[in-house]
Amino acid sequence: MEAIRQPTDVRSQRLWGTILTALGGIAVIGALWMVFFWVPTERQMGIVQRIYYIHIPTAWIGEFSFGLVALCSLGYLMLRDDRLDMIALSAAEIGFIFLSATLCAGPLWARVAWGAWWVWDARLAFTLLLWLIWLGYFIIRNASEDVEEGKRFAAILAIVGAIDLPLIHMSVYWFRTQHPEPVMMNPEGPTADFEIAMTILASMGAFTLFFFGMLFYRYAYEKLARHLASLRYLATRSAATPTGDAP
Amino acid sequence: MNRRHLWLVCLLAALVLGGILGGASLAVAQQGVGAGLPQRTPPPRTLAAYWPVFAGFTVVWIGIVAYYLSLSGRASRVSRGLDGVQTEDRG
Repeated sequence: MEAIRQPTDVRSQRLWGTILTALGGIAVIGALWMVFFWVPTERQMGIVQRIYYIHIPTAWIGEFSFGLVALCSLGYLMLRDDRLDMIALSAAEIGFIFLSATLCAGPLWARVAWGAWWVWDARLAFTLLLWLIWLGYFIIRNASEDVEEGKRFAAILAIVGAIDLPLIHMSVYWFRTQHPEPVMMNPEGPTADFEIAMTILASMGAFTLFFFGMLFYRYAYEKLARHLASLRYLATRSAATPTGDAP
Repeated sequence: MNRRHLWLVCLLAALVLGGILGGASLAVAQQGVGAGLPQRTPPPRTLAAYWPVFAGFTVVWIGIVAYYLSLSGRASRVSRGLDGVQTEDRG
């Protein structure tokens, strides 16, 4: 019965999830100390610039996880390995939360800096498009009656949707835009002051640890959920199959 | 993903939100500390300028903690489902 309860190496994934989440929690507390005690207030934007320390890391996780979803989806289509699909689904769910958080925190900064909650700027529009693609990923997955077909269609959408990632990054160079240019991911290196760059990096590191901790948890859950679904399917099928005793 | 995990998540959320609020209030208090003779009126010691920062950090962390709690709930349901299958097998 223990084999039913713990069908695979779920325990080790939960352990990794706990370790990484705990490390992420400690790193978050350190990053918060940097945000509110260590880093000086930026000269031009003032206090509201501190939203960068939550907006940039959540955007980084949102886009990184979509890249991971696209890569795992490509691998799934090529190898038909269900583990890749489970990683893709887990990363998609967590990344969607982080990208939604980015889209919530950004307007709070924009209201003060630009005087408007939202403008149809190229980067904002491409980020919203990514969010909508992501929504479509879940809808396609769940709308299909055939589970395998749903997985395939969602994987194709993730691969096609990944085209939006370089568009988001390059939009500030290719289009006339009022969104600030990247301060960290520049070809010339970080353009921000040392303290600001270090605080952004610390926040990004903390959120990355958190992301992987949550990814391990979500993956372990997905494994157990699929195992339970297969057990129930087998039970239903064996109940429906005639035993041969009947005349 | 059981009750112990829920407590851990709640504790972590409380620490994070406490850190945000406490850190910001201390940062504002420190801003008022300066050397030299006072010039005109001192700046008001309020958190008004911090509201977008508070709101941003709070919204993000509420989202993350809510997701974590939802995941815990789903995992508990799966565990109960597996227990049910185990009971049926015994029966």
